[in-house]
Amino acid sequence: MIHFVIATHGPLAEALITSAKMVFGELPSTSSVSLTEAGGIELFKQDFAIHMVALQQQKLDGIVVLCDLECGTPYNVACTYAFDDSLPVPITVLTGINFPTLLMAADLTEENDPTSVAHTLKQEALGTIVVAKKPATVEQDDDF
Amino acid sequence: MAISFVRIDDRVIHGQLMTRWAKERPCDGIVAIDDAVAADPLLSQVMKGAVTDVKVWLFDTQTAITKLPKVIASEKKYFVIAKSPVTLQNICKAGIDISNLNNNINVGPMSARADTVTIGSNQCVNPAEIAAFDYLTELGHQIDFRLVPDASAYSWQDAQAKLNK
Repeated sequence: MIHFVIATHGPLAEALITSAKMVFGELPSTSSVSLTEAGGIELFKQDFAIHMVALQQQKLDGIVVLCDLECGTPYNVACTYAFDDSLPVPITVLTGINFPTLLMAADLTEENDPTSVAHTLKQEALGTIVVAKKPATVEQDDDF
Repeated sequence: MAISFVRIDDRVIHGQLMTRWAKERPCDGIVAIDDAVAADPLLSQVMKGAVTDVKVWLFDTQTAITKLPKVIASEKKYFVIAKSPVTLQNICKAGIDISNLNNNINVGPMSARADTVTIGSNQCVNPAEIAAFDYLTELGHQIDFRLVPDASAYSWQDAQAKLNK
């Protein structure tokens, strides 16, 4: 069982979850922590720590933290946990989260290796940035 | 039986979800049916552009009634997607059998509109759609309200119980 934590600047994390629920109705095993302008780095560190302590007590195979920006505060803080080998539940950080990638993550909650889940998501995510291309207008054939 | 999956979805063809359902059900192509979409060449192009890995046909109801027998006779496996249960009702009334390998009619998003009541998350029905679901149920079809493959689901009977409260 994998749990996904979305950690971003501002309301993006919570908004991604709200938007995903519009498509899926529900989004189990996913939560969010936000860095706010008012709270700053210190409050984010506290919020993230509380979140991690709670998750470490659950029967999880791993946690994947989905961040918005490489080397941003949410990413940096998440990495201090991901690189800590003493934690019982392993944590992997994937950065560059977008909407389709989050939807794909919902397919992977039953997996058990957070690092392999993160690599799978990265591969899938690369295909989600697409320049819309007008299809050639063709008559519809009867070749069923 | 060439129809592997029947779905009602008010977005008709939605890249993300089609990819998801198509991952779990055999799908050699998609037959999408909606009068308004089929009549709009630009919208048709956008919908067809949303799915690139399998062949897509977009028909109005009348064309679908003439083409579906050939689809059903095929050796391949097809998804049939309608924007509204009323479309499926009209197709069944014309004598087309939409029995399928998934053994039910799946229902995805049906957005709230002025005359609708909500029966589930992102699933709202108006009086004409209620009558259509009643009709399809009386024909013996199971209706499975389920947005994505592993999500929780309910039946038309569950929805009716809620509507009659």
